Amino acid sequence: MAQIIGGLSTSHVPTIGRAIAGGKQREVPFAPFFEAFGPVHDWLDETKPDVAIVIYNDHGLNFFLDNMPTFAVGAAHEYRNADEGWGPPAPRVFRGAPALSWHIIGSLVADEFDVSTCQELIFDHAGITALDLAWEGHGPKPVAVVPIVVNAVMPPLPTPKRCYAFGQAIGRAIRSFDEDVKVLVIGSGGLSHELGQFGKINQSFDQLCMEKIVADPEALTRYSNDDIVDLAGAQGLELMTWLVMRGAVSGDVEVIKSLYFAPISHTGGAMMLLDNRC
Amino acid sequence: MIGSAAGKRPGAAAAWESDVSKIQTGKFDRDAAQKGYELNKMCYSLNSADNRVSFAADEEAYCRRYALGEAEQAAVIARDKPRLFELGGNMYFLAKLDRVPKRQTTPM
Repeated sequence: MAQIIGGLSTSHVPTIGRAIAGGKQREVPFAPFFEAFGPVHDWLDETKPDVAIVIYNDHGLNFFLDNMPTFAVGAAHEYRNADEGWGPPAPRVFRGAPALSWHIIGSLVADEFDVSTCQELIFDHAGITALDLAWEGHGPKPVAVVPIVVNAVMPPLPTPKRCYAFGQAIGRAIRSFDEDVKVLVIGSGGLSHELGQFGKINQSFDQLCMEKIVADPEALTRYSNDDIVDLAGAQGLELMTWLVMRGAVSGDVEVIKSLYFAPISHTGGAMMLLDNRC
Repeated sequence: MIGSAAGKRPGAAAAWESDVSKIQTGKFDRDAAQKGYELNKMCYSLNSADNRVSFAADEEAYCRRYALGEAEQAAVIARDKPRLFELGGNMYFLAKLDRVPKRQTTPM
């Protein structure tokens, strides 16, 4: 049976991706953020996951306001990057895991999470940046991927409580997959931030989230979406990706590495790796 | 902090109950989603390099192609972010507009 070996969550602001693309991880002011991934690389070398479930929010790339699924699951054989407005990027291809994708989708719908099934999906920088942090650089990744998109764009948005329950359902889906694959669950989203000219960082709230994600994630499910926007800015809703990850990585966890570093660009940068093998 | 935030919940409006006339900056709601649909659609189109070239060549004409009204066109050309939010712009799509260099106007 499939096993969830751990959960990784990280910020994904474009500044991080640009630093990786330019090989400037050691030169940027937020170099400690990249250094924090050293233990992640060691852990991944040791555990060697086969699949990464990548939970993220789309940034106006694959989805527009015409059709905005609350939760969408990729079921493609491969996923590609695309121009997000910065200029056409070097083409990249990420291997999918369609059998696992379809299993997860079937299990989620049976579990009353009526997700959208995406047999084509353009892979947003949010998902790609997380993979480039976990396996540093732009080289081919040693994992197949299952992208899962959470609507953080158009209200009504899924509540924190619903996102946590969704993660728990993803966890049940993975654990009931009848193949011996090791699965890493990644949640890619920033903590407090608001794009545009209104940048917002709430370090005390971010620190609280870092603590609660590990020890008491249900405490975070008591917030409303509006509470989170008030506390953490409009894009602070990306915290949902962390809650989904934590729902999937249920039970006892060991924190392998955790770092909060602010600011990166105009966000609170954060990462966390949880070992779920205990 | 958890306690205080949770404590104010009973009186707090749900995300979809916000006042039509007060689209709070950055707090995109269903009214903004309708009001700003064409504006956001134009911004979404700027993911394409070819479209960015067309836009840069004639911003007004490009906006008209997306049926943007005068207020939207003026806000787009000025890159007036507060106004763009008032007109229903969503930051994830406005970010595409931010990635196109603003036209330089030469003073006479």
